[in-house]
Amino acid sequence: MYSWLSEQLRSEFEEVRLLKESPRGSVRLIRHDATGKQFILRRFQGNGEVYHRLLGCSCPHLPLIYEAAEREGENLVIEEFVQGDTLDFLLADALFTPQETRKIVKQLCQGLWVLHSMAAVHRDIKPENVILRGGDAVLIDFDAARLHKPQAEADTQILGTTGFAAPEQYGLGQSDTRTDIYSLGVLMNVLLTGQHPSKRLTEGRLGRVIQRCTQVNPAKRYKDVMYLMEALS
Amino acid sequence: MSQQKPCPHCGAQLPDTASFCPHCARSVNQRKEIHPPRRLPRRVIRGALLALALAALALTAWHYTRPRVYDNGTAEVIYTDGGGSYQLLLNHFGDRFQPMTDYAEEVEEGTTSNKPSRLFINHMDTGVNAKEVFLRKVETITVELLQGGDSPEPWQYTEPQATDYDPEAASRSILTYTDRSGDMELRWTIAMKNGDTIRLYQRMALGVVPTRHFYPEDVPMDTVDDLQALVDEVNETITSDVIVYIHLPAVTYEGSLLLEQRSMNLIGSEGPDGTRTTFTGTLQATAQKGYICQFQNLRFAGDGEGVGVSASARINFSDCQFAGWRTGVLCYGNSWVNIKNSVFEDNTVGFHFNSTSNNRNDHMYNGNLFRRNGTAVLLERVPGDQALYFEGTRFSRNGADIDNRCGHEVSIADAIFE
Repeated sequence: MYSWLSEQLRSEFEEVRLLKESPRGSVRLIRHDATGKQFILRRFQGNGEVYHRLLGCSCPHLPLIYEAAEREGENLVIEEFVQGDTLDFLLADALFTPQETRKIVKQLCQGLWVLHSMAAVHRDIKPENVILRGGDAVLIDFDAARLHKPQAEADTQILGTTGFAAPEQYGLGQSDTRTDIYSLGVLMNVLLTGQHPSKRLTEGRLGRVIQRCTQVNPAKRYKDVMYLMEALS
Repeated sequence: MSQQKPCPHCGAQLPDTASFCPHCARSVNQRKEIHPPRRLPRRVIRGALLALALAALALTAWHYTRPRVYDNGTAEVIYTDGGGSYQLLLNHFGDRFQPMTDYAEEVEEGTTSNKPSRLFINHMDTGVNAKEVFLRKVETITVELLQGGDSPEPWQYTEPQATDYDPEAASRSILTYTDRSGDMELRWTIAMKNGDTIRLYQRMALGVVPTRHFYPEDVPMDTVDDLQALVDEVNETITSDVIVYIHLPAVTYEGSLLLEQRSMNLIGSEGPDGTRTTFTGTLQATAQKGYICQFQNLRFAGDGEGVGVSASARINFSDCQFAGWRTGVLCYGNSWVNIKNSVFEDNTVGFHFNSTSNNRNDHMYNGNLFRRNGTAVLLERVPGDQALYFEGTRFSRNGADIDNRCGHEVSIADAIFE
């Protein structure tokens, strides 16, 4: 399957541009020769199981995964190219209202619910990784997503983006789904104030929600994204 | 890429595990849109609790009616227990959402085929693969044949088990059958630890591709004229949807043979003294209709001039020998020729590929020997851009091993050069 897909990618698609490259892999924008449709092509090493699980489902708040193939730890993933502006691009001009913020974060919760129900964690939620497509917020780039194994030891690799990453991602404990809740809290505060909650916390009810999301002790945060959605309703 | 399926949108051939068609850039799998469940406000929950208490009484009564049997005669059952609802289904291929109760299969006469019967278990609401959760509730899984177990060559099946090759499936059993196995009905029985029984069914209607065999005992074919007459008669009297095998005696055919119009299979033989079916003149194959020609166990012996086999027909050679030709095998026009386990020696050019086919075929050129040729393999034009593989093929004392004039990708990682 992997070699078949590589072969098809060579003969039916062309590269538009390289979006990102790291020792772990690369992300490219590619175009289908015959139809002109654009897709994201992700190559990386490691566990690609999340992508395989996502093949069978769709969620308006996650990019569609069209194809995933794996050979000896090398992964190829063809993903929907989501068009729109990222939140960090939009934040350069203006902050978001509490109403807009609630809507965006609730939609991100729906996307995360899908990942979390597959025992996957996103681990890199930040404004650059959220695209507004029409009225829908889409959570992209689960490059850092991994399966959450309840018995595993502390995460061995430091991933995630400084500021948005939860303390346990720096090696204090295993990242689980509550790690994403921490990053969502920070994101919410940044959308409302432009700053990290430790610098300037939003006032009022949303401030209390953010505070609970960003507790250092994961046990004190919302237990899952459903509870967070409820708190935002 | 053993199993293939056509793309439902454009018809391109895809591996059966493909979710996406690279030719028309569309999804070919089923997707379930996933929405998180809604949690209800507390006061609704309190009201619901009361109703639930009443329901619990009814539930207790319902529990007494267990164990239950789930059997609707098809390849799909929806099973519900305290943990939720599960979709259980059987499928021969990789699509875990597509139950496949009835399937029609065509096999060639005298051949054996395999097909797996796969059990998939999905969460009803989310579509998430639920095999692990579900298998913990299962006591035993068994498979039996309701039909096809007592035909002249009965269907065989392996005990159902989970395998690493098939990570999506909860379990699978491999079915083996021949053209004489007849129609089949298979029943899976899943016995649950709580006493419930689930039964799933798959049926297969077996068709046989018509095949005709010609043997030297029945038809004169000792000289090239006899053989040409037989080939011409086959062309006139047998349509190309029938596979034709001509089993040749271990004689030497002097003079050239022309295979035109429809394809046929030439199967050579070996006499008790070691002589083989041999052609000393050019075999010219231009047949375009029907299946790919299979040429097996033939020897083509030239005198230094001419072409051994000149093919604009599609041919798969195996266990053949080409010696003493200006060109051993020439593939031209829009044909595709594959060669396995064959010997090329003392030719000016062994295998000359010069074709613009859009019928690309087998890319594996395994187990051949090229010895003492001026040029062993000459690639002038090769269709497509998939590599040709020469696994286990030996190149020995040729003037040039591979003269790759068209620069086609060639994999010689597992070839042997001496």
